[in-house]
Amino acid sequence: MLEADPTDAIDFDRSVIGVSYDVGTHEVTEQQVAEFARAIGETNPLYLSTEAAKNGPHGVLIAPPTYYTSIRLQAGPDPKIVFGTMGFNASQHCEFYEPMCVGDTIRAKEQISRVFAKTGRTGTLVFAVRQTTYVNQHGRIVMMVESSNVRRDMGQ
Amino acid sequence: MSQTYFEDIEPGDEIGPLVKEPTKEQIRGYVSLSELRMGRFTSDEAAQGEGLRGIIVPGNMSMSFLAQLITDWAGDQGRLTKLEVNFRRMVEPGDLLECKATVTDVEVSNGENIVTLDTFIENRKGERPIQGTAQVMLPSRP
Repeated sequence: MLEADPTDAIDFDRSVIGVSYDVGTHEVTEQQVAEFARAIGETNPLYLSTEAAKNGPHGVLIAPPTYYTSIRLQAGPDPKIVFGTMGFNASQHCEFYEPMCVGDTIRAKEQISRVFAKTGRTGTLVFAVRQTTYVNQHGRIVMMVESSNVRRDMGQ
Repeated sequence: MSQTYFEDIEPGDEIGPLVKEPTKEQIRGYVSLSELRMGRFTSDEAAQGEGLRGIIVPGNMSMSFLAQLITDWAGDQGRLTKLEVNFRRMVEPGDLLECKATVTDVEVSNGENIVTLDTFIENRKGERPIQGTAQVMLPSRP
């Protein structure tokens, strides 16, 4: 006998699944790269020294791989999950194709690829998986991220 | 910065630790930049209102420490191509964090030198609040 999928009982906006939204552009600046590097304790001269970067493999200052977490974009699609009291970052799966460079204009597209519920020992968890693709001004994909957010009921 | 070469790497090699001890001040800096609007990262009261003990370190900030460990090791000519992490436990300001990685596989594929790593952050209790895998491309020894 097939077990019922706990996802079926979860109230969320199913119409956003798989629909790609343009969430705007971001200009990579020397200042924001430096501030990001400082915030996470980065010391690599490729991010911080114009001189070192000029002689490095890219010829210009680049941003650290996880710089994308500091990019402010428009709000992406919201699956409006009606469940739980709190949401947490569950995972980040990143693929990096080339670095974001100072002076780049990065355009991002986002979609909710999946919403699913899991029931285990600690109760039910509802996951929303969001895919974001970052493209530079040359039309090349520089990176992709699949980030998963989990909602749970802290009172459980 | 020293360069790591593909020929010098083999499975079992250990990387790190890179030691971090994020403070509330550093979290504030990271949060203001990323505009994370959740009070749990900036206010103990807000965090407690959500059932936490106090402020927590944003997961993406801790993930950035692992990226730093790996890119520092890979050197200027190396390249981090994949990073996949799972957030398993809360990290709190003041936690002493050891960021580490272990080489699990080395292979040459389509002319690229690919190294696969297990990577994690270990706290003082021996727990691993963040755990995942990474892939790095390394240059050959000239």
